[in-house]
Amino acid sequence: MASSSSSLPSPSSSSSSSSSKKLVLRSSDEKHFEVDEAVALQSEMIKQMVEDGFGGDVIPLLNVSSNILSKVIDYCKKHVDFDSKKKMDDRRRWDAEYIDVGVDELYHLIMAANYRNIKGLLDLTCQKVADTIKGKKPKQIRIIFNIKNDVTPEGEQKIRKEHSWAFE
Amino acid sequence: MKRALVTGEDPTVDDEKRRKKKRSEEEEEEESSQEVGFVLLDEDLLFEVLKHLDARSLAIASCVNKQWYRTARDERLWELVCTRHWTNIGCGNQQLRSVVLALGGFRRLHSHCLWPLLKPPPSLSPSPWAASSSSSTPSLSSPFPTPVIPSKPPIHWGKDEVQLSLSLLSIRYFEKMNVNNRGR
Repeated sequence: MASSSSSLPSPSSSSSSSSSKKLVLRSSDEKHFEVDEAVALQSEMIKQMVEDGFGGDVIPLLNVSSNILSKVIDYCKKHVDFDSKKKMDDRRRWDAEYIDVGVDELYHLIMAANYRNIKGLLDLTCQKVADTIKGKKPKQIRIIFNIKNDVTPEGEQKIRKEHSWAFE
Repeated sequence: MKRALVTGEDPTVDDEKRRKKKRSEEEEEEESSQEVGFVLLDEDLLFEVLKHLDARSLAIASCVNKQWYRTARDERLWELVCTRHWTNIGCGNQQLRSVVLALGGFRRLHSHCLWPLLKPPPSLSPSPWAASSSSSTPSLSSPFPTPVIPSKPPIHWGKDEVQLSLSLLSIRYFEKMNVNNRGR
């Protein structure tokens, strides 16, 4: 842990955990990503797999494409660093910039965070969706997120009446 | 496991109907599963999103579609909405939950008892209990000029506010029971 000067230069080698052990992740489009174990273990799912003895092989992530996976790895790397430094302001600023993405990418990030069980990323993405919803009308929400309205006009009237106070 | 705590207006009557309805809706959703977009979020994920909303946004979100409506009715979401501003409720969370759920739930508590107090005051509309108290004590009327309504309600509620709103909720609950008995 103390002598890290001789190790290979790597973006997250400054983190407190020893960066010797690597894991290989494979995206749905067959690309391989080599990451520090500490970074990969941000995902509860991968942690479980490693504990179950699958850490030596390539870990396949069937539902995650390479561009989303690299974005998720960015998040995990950065947060391993943050965890060792505990600078809340930096973390918040970085998160805000990180999550400034389009609806499609946001959707895939949520699915990836959920599938790989990365709590911090799931919170961040869900908060972003909620912030987008706030202050919008139902119609606007449907347009932004490409949601089909399956409620009849009468049904919608009834639902509105249930929460009439919110539409005052 | 996560979706255990949904209470409707009248659970005993609606339960079977709702189950049937849910089944048919699930079939519908399967049919349209090629759709891209947030339709594919399952209800647990949607729940995670809605957890971050305030009361008004949550109510509006329930109009988006059937899935959002079902998810936004979840009592646990309304519990979060209600208790977010409460600093000291004077009893355990579990105890509070069982009382509120027995009296009709957090969604009802919010729309009947919390929202009227939290929203910005409307222009001098007389409140029902102000009218009744002035009629019962006419001689003591207005030792002070019209009560000053604070422009901003307290953001953090303490034990007294919580207990008052619970009392109002229980009064409404029993009032409704009497009306039903007389009507039938």
